[in-house]
Amino acid sequence: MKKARKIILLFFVFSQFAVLFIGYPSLVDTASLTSASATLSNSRLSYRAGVATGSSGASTVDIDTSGFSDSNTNHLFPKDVVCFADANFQGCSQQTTYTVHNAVDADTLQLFSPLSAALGANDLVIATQSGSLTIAFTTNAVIPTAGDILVTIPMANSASGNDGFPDSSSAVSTGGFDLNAIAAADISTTGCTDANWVTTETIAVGSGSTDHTIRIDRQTGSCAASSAVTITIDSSPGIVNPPPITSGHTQGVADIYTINVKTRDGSDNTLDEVDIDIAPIEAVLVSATVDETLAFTVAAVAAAASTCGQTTDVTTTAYSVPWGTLSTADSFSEASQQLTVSTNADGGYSVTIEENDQMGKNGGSCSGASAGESVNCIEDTTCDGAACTESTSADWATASNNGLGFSLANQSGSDAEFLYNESSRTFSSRQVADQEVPETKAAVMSSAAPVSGSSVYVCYRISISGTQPAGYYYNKVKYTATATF
Amino acid sequence: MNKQKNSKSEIRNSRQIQNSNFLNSKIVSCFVLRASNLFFILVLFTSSLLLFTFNSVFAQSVIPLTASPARQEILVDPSEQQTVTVRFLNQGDSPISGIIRVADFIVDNKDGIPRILEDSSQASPKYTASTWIKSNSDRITIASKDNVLLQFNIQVPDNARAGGRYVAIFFEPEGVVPQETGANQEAGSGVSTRLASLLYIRVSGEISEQAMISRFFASGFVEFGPIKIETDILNRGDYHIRPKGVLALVNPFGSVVAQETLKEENIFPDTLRTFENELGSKYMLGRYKLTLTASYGEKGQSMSRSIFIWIVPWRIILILILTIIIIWFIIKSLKRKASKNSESLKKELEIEKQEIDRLKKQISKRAD
Repeated sequence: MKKARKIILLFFVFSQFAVLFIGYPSLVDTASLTSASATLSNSRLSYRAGVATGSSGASTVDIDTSGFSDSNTNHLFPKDVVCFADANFQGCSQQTTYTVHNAVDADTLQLFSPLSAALGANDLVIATQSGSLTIAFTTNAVIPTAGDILVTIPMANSASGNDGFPDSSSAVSTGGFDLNAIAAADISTTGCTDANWVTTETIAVGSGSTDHTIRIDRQTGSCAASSAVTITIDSSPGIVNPPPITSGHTQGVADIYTINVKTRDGSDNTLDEVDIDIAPIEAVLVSATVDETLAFTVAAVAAAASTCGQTTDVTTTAYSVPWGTLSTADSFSEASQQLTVSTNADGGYSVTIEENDQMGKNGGSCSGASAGESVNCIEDTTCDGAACTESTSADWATASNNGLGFSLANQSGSDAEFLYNESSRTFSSRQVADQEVPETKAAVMSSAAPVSGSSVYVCYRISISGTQPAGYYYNKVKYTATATF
Repeated sequence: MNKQKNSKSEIRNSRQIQNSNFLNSKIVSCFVLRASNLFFILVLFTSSLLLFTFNSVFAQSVIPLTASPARQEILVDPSEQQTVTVRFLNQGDSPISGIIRVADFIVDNKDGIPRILEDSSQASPKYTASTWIKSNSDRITIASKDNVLLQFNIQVPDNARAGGRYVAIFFEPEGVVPQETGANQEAGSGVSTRLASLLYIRVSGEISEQAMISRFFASGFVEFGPIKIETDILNRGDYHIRPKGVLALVNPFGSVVAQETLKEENIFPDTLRTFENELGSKYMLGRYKLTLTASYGEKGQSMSRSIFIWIVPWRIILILILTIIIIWFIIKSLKRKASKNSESLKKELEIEKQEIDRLKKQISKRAD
């Protein structure tokens, strides 16, 4: 009886050890790979939303606000390229991609070009985010010849994980990356003598709930312990990041996926391994709005200054041209103002000039375009040979051709509408457009593009005859600066 | 006794009078002093006020203003109320005062220069909206190195027609006519400045979008490139358009040799705008096809035109032909010369031969 008990006890103890040994077999000295990291060159989550409406010819698309990875337009940025794919992912609608202009509101996006065909109710809005993946680690144990490295990349369950479309899932555990049809040529391995790693890596695309794997065989010589190894999947075409998980995702909080890296011996026994977390997240759009501005400065020019090839006789202010006493008949008096414009408006700008009327005695009315001294006015000049108007310039070099006119000279830039010395003239002049007539306001300076500090001298000239009735003559000149339409 | 009393009282009175005179003179002198002080203060105050006034407005040597935004576009619904803001900045060292106004504008030229309509009755009601816009202030003063943000309320009428409305919001420091000095013949001009911010209002609803290339011109025969092209695009729609277009130059073999994008510019409704481009290289030869394809509008409508151009560097070709002819003549004359030489040599040879024959005959005769 005692003997039987001893045998039973011995058998029990033996069986316990046997269970422990079989249930928890000791692998070949596995340990963790050290200094492990995985880096995505583009860690931005892909965008995947449902289409609500999108009419042919329209450049706006409304998206579904629930039931998809993305339910608003927060993560669509200007210049993102979107594809409208059907539920079977048979390419993009009309084989066309569109560029996002901006997000109009939370569920409407604006495209740069109109849709060439109407979108279906089951279509998806997809903005793919892809890039390179770099995995680095340091070996713990020697990888023998005929050993390998096995990289496991998570894939979305039951998805088509190699078609280049981001694959959605309700949870991180069932989600993952799309391999985007990468080939062995897209993968490179360095460290432990680069050439000793196979160049035709074995890529196994996942299916069902099986993840993607990439096996890199050691074809010549072993790889010593404590060796730094780097595996790179390049960015062309690059693996496709998943969209946010459809359940429980918070925008701005990463969905964290795990990539597993193993080193194995020739019999596929694991030598070392490590799980590396990788965290794609929504990008942040940093934007600033720069308004179009138009800056316009009118500045005085002092007497004795040289402008438009003449020396000024009068000091102007920004508000007036005070000719003062015109004591000498048939002689020119000169005065100038300086106009300066800066604008970032892409169409440029224009500055026009006008006068309320010709110069009338004590501000009296000068009816018509050529009211002269007979009706107590100083007429707008018609230049030499009665050749200039408010829109046509002509030389005005003879002081006995009386009147008021102006010319232009570029001080900075080349925005003057005409120049005092054009066509080899001495003082090419025009009239100021008379609004009493009314005449069409003419531009004095303009540009069809943005400018910085373009500056022009407006050079006024006046001359009266000896029979001009005595009195005080004046009018009002106005500059108008606007952006070009 | 009475006399003494009287004299005493007289003395007292005279003293009192003296005293009162003294006091009066003191009071008067005091008043005079105060008045002169007051006058002095008044003169100082007035002159400083005048100085301040002249410095701030009349004698100001520079008016540096900025409007922001220079252009803006808004979408409104009929009967909707909206606000827009415009900021005017004074970058000068003195405050600037002026009026704020809202006016309609149109574009009636090929260069896109807006024409502000002083009187809204001059404008086609189709494009006006100045009466829809109200401002809280019609006169402002902008402090030195400061800005003023103005808010404008837009009340869109219930029956507002869909399409574009165009207004300019501007700030206008008033010009000052120089003071008359009383001279015999005197003149002066007040100069005012007007800085405008343009507002494009799109009233929502179905609009007509129609545009055409009304002129597509390049010289039909040119010697050298690049080809100068002038394009007029006419907008016949209810809202302004901003066409996107590409010019392409196709060589006689059907290959595109040059492409250029049309500059994107707004075209006011019922207005045409001119675009100028240059395309191609200097040396080209043959009949080239020039094509413009452009799209416009919210519905992506398109328009296109094409023309053919002969590009023949005729002077170079003429020089080449002349050179070939000259070379041909030179070769021909050289050949003729050579042939003449050979003829004369042949003749000489024939003569020599005849001479030799004659000598041979003479020798043979002598031998006989």
